[in-house]
Amino acid sequence: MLKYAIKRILMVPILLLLVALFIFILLNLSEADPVLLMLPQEYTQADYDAMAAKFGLDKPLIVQYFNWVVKSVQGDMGISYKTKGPVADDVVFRIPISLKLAFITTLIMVVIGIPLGVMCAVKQYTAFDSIINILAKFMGSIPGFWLGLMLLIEFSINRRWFPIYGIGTVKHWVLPVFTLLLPFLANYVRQVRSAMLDCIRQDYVRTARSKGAKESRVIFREALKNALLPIITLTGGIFATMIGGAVLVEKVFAIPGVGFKIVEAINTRDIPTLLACTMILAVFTIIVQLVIDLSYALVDPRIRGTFATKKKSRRSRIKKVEEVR
Amino acid sequence: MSNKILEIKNLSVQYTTDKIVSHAVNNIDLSIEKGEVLGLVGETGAGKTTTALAIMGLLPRYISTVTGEINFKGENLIGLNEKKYRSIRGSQISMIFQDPMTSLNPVFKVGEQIGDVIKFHNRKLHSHEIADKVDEILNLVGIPPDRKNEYPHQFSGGMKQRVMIAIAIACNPDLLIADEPTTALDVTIQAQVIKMMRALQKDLGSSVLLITHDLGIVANFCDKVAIMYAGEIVEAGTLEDIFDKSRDHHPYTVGLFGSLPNILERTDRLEPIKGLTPHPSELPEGCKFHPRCPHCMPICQAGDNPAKATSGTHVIQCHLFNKEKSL
Repeated sequence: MLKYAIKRILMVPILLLLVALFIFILLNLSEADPVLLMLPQEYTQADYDAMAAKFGLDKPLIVQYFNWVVKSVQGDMGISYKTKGPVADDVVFRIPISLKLAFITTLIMVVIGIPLGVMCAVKQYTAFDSIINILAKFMGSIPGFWLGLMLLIEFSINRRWFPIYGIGTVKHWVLPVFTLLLPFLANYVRQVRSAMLDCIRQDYVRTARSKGAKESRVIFREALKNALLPIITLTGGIFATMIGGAVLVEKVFAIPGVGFKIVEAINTRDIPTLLACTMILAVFTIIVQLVIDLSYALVDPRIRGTFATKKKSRRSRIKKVEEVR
Repeated sequence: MSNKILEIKNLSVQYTTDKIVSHAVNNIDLSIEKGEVLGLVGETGAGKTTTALAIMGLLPRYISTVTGEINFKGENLIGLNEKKYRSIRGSQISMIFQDPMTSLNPVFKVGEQIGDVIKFHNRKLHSHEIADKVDEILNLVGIPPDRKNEYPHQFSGGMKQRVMIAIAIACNPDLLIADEPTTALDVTIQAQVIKMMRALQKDLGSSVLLITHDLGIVANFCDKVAIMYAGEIVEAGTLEDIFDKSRDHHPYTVGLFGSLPNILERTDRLEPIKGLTPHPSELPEGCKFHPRCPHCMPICQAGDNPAKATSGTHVIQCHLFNKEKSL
């Protein structure tokens, strides 16, 4: 198990290098010449060369990549084409903001979504299940930006319950979290329900009942623990998506997160900033994935077993060899 | 009378799904005495498992209707409140399921799954007392107790079935329902499991309802046999009543035995019963077996079920043996 964890952690830097290379190449495939973008309308060849040299753009792509990797490892993410200041200064402070938004939203989603999904599965085909299902479908189809704007108009402008933008107090977070939460929650409840339905129909659930277990125990212990695997995958995936994918919500509520910056960087073709933001998202996605994989092993002994048996079989092989001797 | 552990009277079970009514079990009578092994034999879809689940009170609630009486130690289980039923399940009546591969929960340790059933019914026991009991039961079913911290996927099929049996006998039940306990196992393991079950049954003195379609196991293990067809018991009696070829038998029973290979007679082909078991939503009129019966008479094709012809312990539900048969 430990070996597996270490192996997975060692994979992280290699994955990141590959992701960086991929993004690097993709960004440089675009027609736009960043040097031209930064130069004034009228320029000489000398100006061009000087600008290119200043940002290291005169070197071959692979050299640029290596330079970027070496500098990034040291914490220097390059100079923004737009602000002409260090990219790191503009990006690093955004990470906790985006993380906070994603984390709070995911937490609420799990706390509400799992019990609701389980209830739906247990009460399948009843009025409760149908109502939640219809509500979920309805909520799931509301576009986030529209919902955000409507909430802003009603609760911030008309009723003045919440501030319009910013991130200072708890009140600032209510509307953005709600806007981000609703569509994800709707989908989440439906997925939890179907994961639970799969498990409720299994033979071992019948065995548990035949042992005289209470219904609550049958559902929340025997069935839910088996349903957790797909639920963990789903939750982790949504969390990773939220970190970078809350662009619209960040835009509507003017939250200075990473997603907000990505859109800005794309619009201004600010490649160093874009690279930095993308890499941050990649780092978090990979970390989340790692956590998911490791927690699989915690929940499911069969996955743990695949690592344990390998070791055991080697030991028994040695034993056999010794016996033969 | 008082010796009867289980007495089923006029039990019927219907499933209703999408307005289609399936008559899975129709007016069956069964009784098992203390320490007795009753074999319930029949084809797939004859209603054997439904009967077992009805006794356990584990039929899917919203789609099934149960009528009749299931008297367990003198108490009717039908309509019993859930809390009381729960205290009976696992402790006084327990069940071994058909497929040990899927019947154990993959994410809990085997010892824990056995310990649970003890814990449910003996709330006052300490955890170390439960652990001791688990060790004892594992020994009983032939599993080394140090394997109790392993998970089901680390066990073979036969070992898993032993674990299932351990769960079932953990609380010394009065009645053990074994639903095709060996169907999913290979033949050598089947023999082991049956041998072990027989030894345990003798030791513990439990009554057993053995559901199977394997007549060999029935001959080995059972005291009484009931043959089930299309939700009805068409023939019932002691082992001798059913297996003695010189006596009268229901044509379906004859067909069942006829489809077994015989070592003494050389035949090119086995003789299966022609046709298929009717679907429980489309049962034929009259005797349910008449479309497949080689002795079908006009009287068989309409009206109610044939009356039961009884001689001693032997009961046959067929017009052929009815005293007042009108040909």
